[in-house]
Amino acid sequence: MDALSWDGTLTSRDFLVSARAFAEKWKEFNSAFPPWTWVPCPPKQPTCYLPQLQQQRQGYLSLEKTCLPGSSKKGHVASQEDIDEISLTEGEEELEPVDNATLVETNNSPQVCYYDFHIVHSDSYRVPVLYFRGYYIDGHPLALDEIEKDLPACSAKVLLESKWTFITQEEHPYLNRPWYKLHPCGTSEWMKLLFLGDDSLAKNGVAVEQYLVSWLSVVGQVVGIRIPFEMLNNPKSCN
Amino acid sequence: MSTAESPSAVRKVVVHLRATGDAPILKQAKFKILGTDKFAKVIEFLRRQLHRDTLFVYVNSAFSPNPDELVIDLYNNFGFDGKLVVNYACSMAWG
Amino acid sequence: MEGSSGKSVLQFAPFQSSVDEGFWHRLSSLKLNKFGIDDSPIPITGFYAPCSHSQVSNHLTLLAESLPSDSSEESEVPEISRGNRNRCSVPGILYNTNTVERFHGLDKQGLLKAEAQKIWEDIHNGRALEDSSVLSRFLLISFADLKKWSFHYWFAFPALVLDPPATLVDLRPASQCFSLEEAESLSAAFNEWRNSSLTADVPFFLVQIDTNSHATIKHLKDWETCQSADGHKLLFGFYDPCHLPNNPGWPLRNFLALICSRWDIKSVHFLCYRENRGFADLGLSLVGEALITVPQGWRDHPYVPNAVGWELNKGRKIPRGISLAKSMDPTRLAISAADLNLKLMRWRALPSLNLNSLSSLKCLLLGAGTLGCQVARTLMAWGVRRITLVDNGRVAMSNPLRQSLYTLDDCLNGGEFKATAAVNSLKRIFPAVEARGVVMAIPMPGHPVPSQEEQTVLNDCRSLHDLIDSHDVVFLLTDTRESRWLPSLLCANTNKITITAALGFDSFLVMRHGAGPFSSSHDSKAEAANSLSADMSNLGLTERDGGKRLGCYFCNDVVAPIDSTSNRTLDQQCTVTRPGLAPIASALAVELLVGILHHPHGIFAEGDVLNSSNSESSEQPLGILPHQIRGSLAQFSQMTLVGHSSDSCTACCSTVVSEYRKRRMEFILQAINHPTYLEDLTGLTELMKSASSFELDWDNGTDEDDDDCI
Repeated sequence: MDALSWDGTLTSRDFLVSARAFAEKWKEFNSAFPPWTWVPCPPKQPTCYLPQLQQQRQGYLSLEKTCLPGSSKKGHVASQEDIDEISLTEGEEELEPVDNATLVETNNSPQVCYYDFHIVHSDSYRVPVLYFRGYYIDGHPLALDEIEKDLPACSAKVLLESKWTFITQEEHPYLNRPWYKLHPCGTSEWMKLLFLGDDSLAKNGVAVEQYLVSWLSVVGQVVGIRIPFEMLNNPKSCN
Repeated sequence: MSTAESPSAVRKVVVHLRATGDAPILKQAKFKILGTDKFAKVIEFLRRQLHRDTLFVYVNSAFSPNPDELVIDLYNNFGFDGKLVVNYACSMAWG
Repeated sequence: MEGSSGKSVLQFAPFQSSVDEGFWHRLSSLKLNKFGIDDSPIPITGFYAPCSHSQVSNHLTLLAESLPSDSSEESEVPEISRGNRNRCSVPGILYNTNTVERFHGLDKQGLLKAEAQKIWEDIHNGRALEDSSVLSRFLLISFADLKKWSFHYWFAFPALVLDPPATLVDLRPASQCFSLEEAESLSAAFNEWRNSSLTADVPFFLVQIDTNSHATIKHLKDWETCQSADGHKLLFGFYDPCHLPNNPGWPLRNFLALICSRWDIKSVHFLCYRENRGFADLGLSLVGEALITVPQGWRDHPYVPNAVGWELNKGRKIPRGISLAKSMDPTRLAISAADLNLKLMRWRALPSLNLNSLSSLKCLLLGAGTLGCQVARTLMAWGVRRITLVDNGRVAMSNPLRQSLYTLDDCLNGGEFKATAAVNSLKRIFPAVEARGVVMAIPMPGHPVPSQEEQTVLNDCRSLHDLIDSHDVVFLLTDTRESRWLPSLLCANTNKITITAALGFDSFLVMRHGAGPFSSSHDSKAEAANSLSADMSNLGLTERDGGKRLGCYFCNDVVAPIDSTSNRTLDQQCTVTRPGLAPIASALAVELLVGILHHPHGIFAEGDVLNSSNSESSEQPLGILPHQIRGSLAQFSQMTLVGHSSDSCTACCSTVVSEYRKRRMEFILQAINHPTYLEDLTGLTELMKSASSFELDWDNGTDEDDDDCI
């Protein structure tokens, strides 16, 4: 693609190419981290008008159960939201005989929070969209205000309110449950900026393989995903 | 370039700030900054110079560095011709 | 062997549970669409993996795919695939009760015992050797409160109790138990086992280390073959979810029961397999030796040992609960989606958009016909949440096609009151709307009132007065000109933002009324205490433009409002308008309101005209703020106009307003009963006699009184 006339978007076919390249690079340079995997999805309705090739492109890139640095909480607080604890605590029950082979754990360990990240291609904006959610280790979902506490302190507020990285809640396009996402309406704009600044790209054209790496260097900052430098070194601009 | 010879702890890096898009151009575009400083310092400097809260800051390899990265690391990986080129654009017309 | 005094009871770290949101989502959907009140137990699948973190134990996890799929659910969660190294399947059973009482009343000991018996039988009939995951069989009881989107649940991981308990001889990191060669070979064997889709999710196994330091991992069913060779070490290995350095995890309990009752081994060497970054971690893994005394009775098959395993909730024997209202309650989802949409609009295009002022704004809609329905919808789209609709009509058969809040159902049995039907409809569209319907007639001048009805009319006047007082904005959307008179007067009196929309056959008028005649006096200062107008009146108190106020709907009239319906044929009464007209006019009316709210001078803002050189107004983020918009579908044209208030206006001039203030209801009755009273009062009569040239050039004279059929 010619970097000057390029509009910052990505077709679903190129998304798949870029996703594969990204996942491989990630594994190569970031092996200490869990890998991103491609989750193929059957189309929502059997769509006979889509050629089979295109149907195979349905899916998303997934990184699940990651611990964000510093994302441990004092423990899930039975909050205002929770079901009336009264009905739960009607009194402890004598369920079973005392068993001295059962370890009684002291419950002081901090609660761990996990995050799931999915990168989904938006057909309407023609850009990747980051969907994410957080939950305590026992499965309790994290509310947005709890998630915000986990986000990197550096300019988290600015990022949340910037039109480039605005967080909204929406149904996950494949799971049909509400997830948080970074709204994609500014994505193509800054993707274009990113690639325009690169002289070598102006000469050589936009490398589809590099798209997701560049993209995640921006959105990753909002949620605290760091990209190793080695992934960013574009082989074309090295020499 | 003599990065390898001088200890990075005291080394200063030349940062070249380059406006893109609608961003205003700074009178002085080149600055020296300690290699041990975080990239966040560059962003903060730009923010104050331009009186903008939200800026889009990125380097020459088509990515936006994490604010926690050290300037020297960025220079070593993406510096060219003795300097680190940092592009910036303004995200919002207001702000 | 150590002396008996040094022996300690081997203690196991309990299994912990984790339930993904998706599990509850699918359970809810199954309960609603498939199970109904059938509460028979459901087979489910749990997942676990070896501990992979030195600080955190792995949990037995339930996901959406733990449940059978629900065909009506359109989600595309992939079904369980075997061989996933991070998802070793474990069979379980779910008792989901229909009531919370049944949940608490379940015989928990009995249920646990029944599951323990299954494990016991699988050990004896050899099934556990073929499919070792049955050793970790679990039990879940739950109650799903689908009305509140909350779930009560309790896990049990049945463990057969050895009595007397196993004692611990030795336990240490695996790395300290092997020679370098052994460790190397063992790690390689583990990584192979974990990477093959045939074995990756087999959680119990045998580890055999030959005399030549070569390690192999074998299935439990191959135990016999391990006996033939001599001089090797044999360890009983399992995927250990626990991370603790001094305790093995729960799955070892039933494994020991199997080892002891099937193979009659007294001294068991076990290996707790744990990993790091996807590779065997012998520093984290443990190797231990336990001594078992075969408990009494274990050899008699019908006997079933005691079992324990109910999961504690923060150290207490109580169930757990989770509320998913945030992600399942459609009302909440609709609210957050609507809010985020508006916020996005603000960040994207309108940074000065004041969402709070919109959501707290109280709008009064007089008339719930074509215009009223459409205005209400557009208001909601802008984030307005408080809407009151006033109408005394019922929904007629001809209405639903043009009046977008109604359906045929509202017309049946004589028709629902429009005010009621509209509110119900708004709530269906957006449950968080605070909508109220008031069934009430608006008193009209020129419609004389018989004395016995006088009290009713006066009551209506007072109600209308109170309604206007308690709202921030009034929309005049009724179908006759004279029904707009009293509200116009009351709004001028209290200086409320007032917007009128009126329709002809193919033309429309949308306008905002100017401030009241006394708006700059003490009266408006009292008003300033009112929430919304506070900032606006402060800014606009000084009369601008040489004291000229903008006009109201009646300012350009030469006749007082009289009965416009009684001397007409049906066609005229029931004005037929082009169907596209009302949505256009309604949309403009709401956009005009949003313009006023975001204008620094609010209700006092001057009327802008398109292309006017007024640079101040063109800088407003929402663009110009006109006084009147007149449009015609015949020409597909639209123009913006300014008209100033008239000193002889029958609704908003100072004479009328001060007369109202003096005499209140008496004045209104007089206006209603005597058609010429208002004209006499304001001098219109005089005016009519003396002149015929006051028509403003833009007044095209079309009859724009009516909006829809009565």
